[in-house]
Amino acid sequence: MEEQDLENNFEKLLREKADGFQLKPTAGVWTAVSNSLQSNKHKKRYLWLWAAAVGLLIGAGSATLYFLSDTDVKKTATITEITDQETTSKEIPLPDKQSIITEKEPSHNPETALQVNETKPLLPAAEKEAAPIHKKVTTTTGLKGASAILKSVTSKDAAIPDKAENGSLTFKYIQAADPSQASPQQQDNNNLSIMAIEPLPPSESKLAYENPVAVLQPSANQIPIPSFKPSRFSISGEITPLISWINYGNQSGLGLTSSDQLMADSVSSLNQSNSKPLIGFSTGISGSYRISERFALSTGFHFSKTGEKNQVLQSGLQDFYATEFGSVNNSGGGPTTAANSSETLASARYSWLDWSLKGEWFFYNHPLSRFSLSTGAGVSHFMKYTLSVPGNGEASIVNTSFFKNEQQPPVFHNYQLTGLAGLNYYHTISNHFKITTGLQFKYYLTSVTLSEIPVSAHPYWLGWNIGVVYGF
Amino acid sequence: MNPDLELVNCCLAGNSQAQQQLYDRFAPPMLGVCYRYVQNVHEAEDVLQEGFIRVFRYLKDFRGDGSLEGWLRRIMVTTALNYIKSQKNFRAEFEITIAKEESAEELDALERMENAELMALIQQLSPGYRAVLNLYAIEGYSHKEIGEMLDIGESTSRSQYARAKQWLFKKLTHMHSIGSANGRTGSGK
Repeated sequence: MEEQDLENNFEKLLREKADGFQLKPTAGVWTAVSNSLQSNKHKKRYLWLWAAAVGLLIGAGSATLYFLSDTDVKKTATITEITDQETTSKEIPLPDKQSIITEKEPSHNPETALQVNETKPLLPAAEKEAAPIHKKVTTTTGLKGASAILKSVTSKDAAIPDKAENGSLTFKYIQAADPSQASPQQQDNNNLSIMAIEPLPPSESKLAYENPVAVLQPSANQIPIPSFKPSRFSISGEITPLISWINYGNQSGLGLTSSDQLMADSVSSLNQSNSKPLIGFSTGISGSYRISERFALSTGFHFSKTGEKNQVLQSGLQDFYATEFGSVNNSGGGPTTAANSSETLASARYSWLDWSLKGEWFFYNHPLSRFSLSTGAGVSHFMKYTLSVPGNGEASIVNTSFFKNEQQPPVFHNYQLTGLAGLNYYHTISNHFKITTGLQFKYYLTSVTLSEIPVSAHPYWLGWNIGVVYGF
Repeated sequence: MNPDLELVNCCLAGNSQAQQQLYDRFAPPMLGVCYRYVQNVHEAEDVLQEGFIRVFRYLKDFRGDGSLEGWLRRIMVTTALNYIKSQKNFRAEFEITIAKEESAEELDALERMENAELMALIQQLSPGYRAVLNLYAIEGYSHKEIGEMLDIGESTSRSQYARAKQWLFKKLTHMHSIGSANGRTGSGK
């Protein structure tokens, strides 16, 4: 009992003494803490900047798409009536694109100019005798070489395309024999309302009337039509300049109960806060199969170089190189200058051989230009790790095996799962060739344990690709 | 409102003055805590810095159930443990040759000892023993909890604590005998 009391007294006394012990820290501690708080604020600000940049990109893309798809549907069109006596012009309002009614599928025959569907005669014989009035409809879009839909509200009148030029379409207007049959609105519009002028892909090229008495099929020399055909198979080569980062995390999640987790958190947060992006590239070839008008599957191989910059202590460089590389395949030799206590930026570069499979959805389809969103997954084989410190040499590990993790210590596992996404634009330059460009994003999904600490590292990059596509 | 919570809320709102106020108020006792686990003041300041960075990061998790000081102390202790675990000599042993139980004399010596003197004495222990002594006697963790925190067995924690205490008592006995001798010498003059 007495022994227990003595022990309790010992601990109580020790606790009292310890609680009464204080030390005043030097000013540098608060400065460092304060700087860390500021850098966190900056990181949050950068996050907002990133979010704003992505938002801007999406907004700009959407606006581009909107205007590209709407260039031919203007709110007004100019009708110029050319008669022997006078030339008058007026602007008339056009309805929204939604109000355009797709007409019944015409019987296409591109070889025949202005062919009339014989089941519905264009005009009664008497009306054909009416003198045609030339009307010129000018779209203000500068639409180049496209076909068009032209709609008239009159059922008795007819508008026959005469010729098309860049940005304009001229047609013959044949007035009905009895204009009094037209509605008041039709009469207000000089018996003609242009409902819409819309470019169409070649496969849908046609002229249509709201209440068609005939469907007119223009010939190629009357209305120039792009002759590009969508390809079923294609191969492409591309190069993507990129900016890469590494996302550090705690494999076991956060928590204060496990000291290991806190250690991992501490290391990962330190790495994360010091991590800076590095410029790299990705290049390769891929093949694509278009399974429908709007969907395609593609697969390919790419060589990618990613990395990051991180702070290391000059004085710890010798240990750092030794820990990172040991004696394995160290082609660079390690640090060469005298160590000091200042920090310096080290560049870590990783080479990968990537295989990927992705799906692509074309949300804007046009013979000349197509936009798509793509997403997919892949496997990346870790090939080489190079660490370089300015003025302190360079060292590297080359992974010589496709099947085993031979490098010690493991920098990355032999294979990583990857996820990718992209916004792509294709521009047709000939029947077989397209050029492509767009924003690409790749994330290495597999967690990597660094040393003995459960810290995960996920490389990821954002790039802008440029490529050539050959379709057949 | 609880003044601690009020201060925490101000810090969370990004008020830099409140952040500095929190730091100024708790940095000295927390540096005392950190110092007990490491070799010198320089290392203790490193731990304090890392600990406060972590404090501000996790401040949103402080619910005010216990005292703010207790919460900060727990983070500092964990940070200090992480630090010493990363050191190469963490598991170094030291020899304990005597096996003497505590007595009233040692406790008397301990009571008369200045706080700083005691801390300097604890500093002489190797990191592992020092950690166990701090965690059990001062922080009040059980041997089972200490075992989990330091990745050692419960029995190892228990035996290390016993040895650390014995070592401390040996030192206290030595100091007590020197003190008594000085007292006798002094009274003889």
